Amino acid sequence: MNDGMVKNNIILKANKNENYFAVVRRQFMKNKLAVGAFCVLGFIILLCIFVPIFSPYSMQIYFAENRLIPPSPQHWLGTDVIGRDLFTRLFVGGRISLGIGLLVTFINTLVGFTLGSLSGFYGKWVDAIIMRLSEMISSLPFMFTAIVIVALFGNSIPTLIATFAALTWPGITRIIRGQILMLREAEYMKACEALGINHFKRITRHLLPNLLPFIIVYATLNIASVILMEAALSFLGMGVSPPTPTWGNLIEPARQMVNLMNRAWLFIPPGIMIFLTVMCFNIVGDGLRDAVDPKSRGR
Amino acid sequence: MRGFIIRRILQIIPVFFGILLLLFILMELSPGQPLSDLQDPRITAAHRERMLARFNLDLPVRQRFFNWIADAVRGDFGESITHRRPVSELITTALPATLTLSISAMLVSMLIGIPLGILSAVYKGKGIDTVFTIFAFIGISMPIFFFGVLLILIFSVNLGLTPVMGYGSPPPFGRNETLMQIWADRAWHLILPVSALGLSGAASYMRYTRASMLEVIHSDYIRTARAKGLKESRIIFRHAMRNALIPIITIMGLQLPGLFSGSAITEAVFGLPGLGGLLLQAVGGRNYPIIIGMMTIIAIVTLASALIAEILYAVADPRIKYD
Repeated sequence: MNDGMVKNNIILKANKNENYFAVVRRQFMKNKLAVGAFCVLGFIILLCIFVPIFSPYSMQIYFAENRLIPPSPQHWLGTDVIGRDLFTRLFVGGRISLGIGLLVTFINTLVGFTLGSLSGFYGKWVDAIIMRLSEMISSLPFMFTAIVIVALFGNSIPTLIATFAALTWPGITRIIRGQILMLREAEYMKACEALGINHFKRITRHLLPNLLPFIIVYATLNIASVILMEAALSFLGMGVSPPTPTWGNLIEPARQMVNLMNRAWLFIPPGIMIFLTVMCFNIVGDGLRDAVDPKSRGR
Repeated sequence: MRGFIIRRILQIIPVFFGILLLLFILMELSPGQPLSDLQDPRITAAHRERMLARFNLDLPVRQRFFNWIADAVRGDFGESITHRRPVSELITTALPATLTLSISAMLVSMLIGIPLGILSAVYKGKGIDTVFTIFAFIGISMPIFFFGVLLILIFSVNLGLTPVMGYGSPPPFGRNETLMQIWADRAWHLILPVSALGLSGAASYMRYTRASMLEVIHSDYIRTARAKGLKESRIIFRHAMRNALIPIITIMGLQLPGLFSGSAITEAVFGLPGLGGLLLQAVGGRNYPIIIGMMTIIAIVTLASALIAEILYAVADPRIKYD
């Protein structure tokens, strides 16, 4: 009897969620700017997937006689100092930059959800410890800490992902904690308690669906900031190291005077790609926020 | 209020020592050591031993941690491994460039971001608002280093209006010039870096101000002011703005770590001799004393400014009650 009631409850909730997401989708579709950004983003992702597959050039193989060709019909974006095709490298770099952004966001959202819900749900010393930890991380400037960690532990892609995730979890953790503190007092949580549903189920089955909109908005905006951070770190020579391209280290040639003065094709395209991608993620994230949170609409 | 300040300080102290402990643990866990023969093949084992002993790096990490704290309390942050100069001296030489850049950039951000945010909120949904919002998206999404590179490309390389990089003209300059001329020269060198960092920051100040202003504009007391028949300009500048700007104090405090990060990147683009450059130099050689000294100072500055922002917030807004 008890089981049946719980099941009914969940099915009811599932239907409600579907409706809710349909509302969110309709709201989002009204925002022309956000829909446009979403399409541009899709196009960029498709290019990153397919250009390296269909390109006649490899991102590694180079021909010394082809070095530093300005954009031309053979090489749409020209070639670099050792003769690699930059059009191909741009989108291989995009795979890495986007991949790091997605993976880091996945990890820190997972960590943030876990710690944030523990912190909000249990309060007391659990909350104190997690909040002090997050204060520790967020009072260090990201760039400085990342430089130190990467210099000490090497700059392989897994290390970079771990570093980014370790330094960016406090943001989402606080958001989740704040939301849970609010929802903890809600009547349906009292109902859960009365029904004797265990803590784990209360968090994952009953709180998570309510938090999902915030998590999605946060994750979208977070991908943008991780892409920016990775690019900045790679630009400083502390991120992904060549020959693996990323949008950040593709701009690095701009730090040399010769390139800056005469070879704009080397660093302008990756710069534009970072800017465009990050802006699209920001606009989509903003559009999603307006769609899921009626209070923020038009703000 | 006093109780709140004391409680906050009591919370900050473990956070600060936690950061310090974390740094020591990271260094202990990391592979490789300072003065390894990878960095300089001429270093012999005996020499290395002597050097490690000199910098107390042969002690166990627990002892190093407590030694460091004991020394730091007396103002001694140790000696740099590669420079043979006190860490405090190296940091104080690098600090002016970073502080000048960050503080000027913050002022630029606020001077541009706050008025634009207010205008945007007042003319919500109109043409101006759309234009400013688009600018804000551009500002938030533009990588600072790419923006800096573009500024150099346009204003230094193509138009020849500003110097390409550096924190002042090279040495012959400055021997016979007056202090005023030196400062003018420095300001001229800092125009582009400050614009790069300041304009990116302006975008986020604009968005916060706009959101905060919109919230206030819809409140009851503003409607009362309108009902009284006050002039619109008086309502906006005297009644709404005062309350809308209070949350900006918090934003200032919270943005400081980001400001330092941005400043490190900007320094690299424009070749300024700041903390970012010193850190990049130090990490290459596993220069632990510099790394720890610098991170400690930055942590103190950000923790302190967050606390000050919280206190100012309470002072500025009497409705806030911290029990």
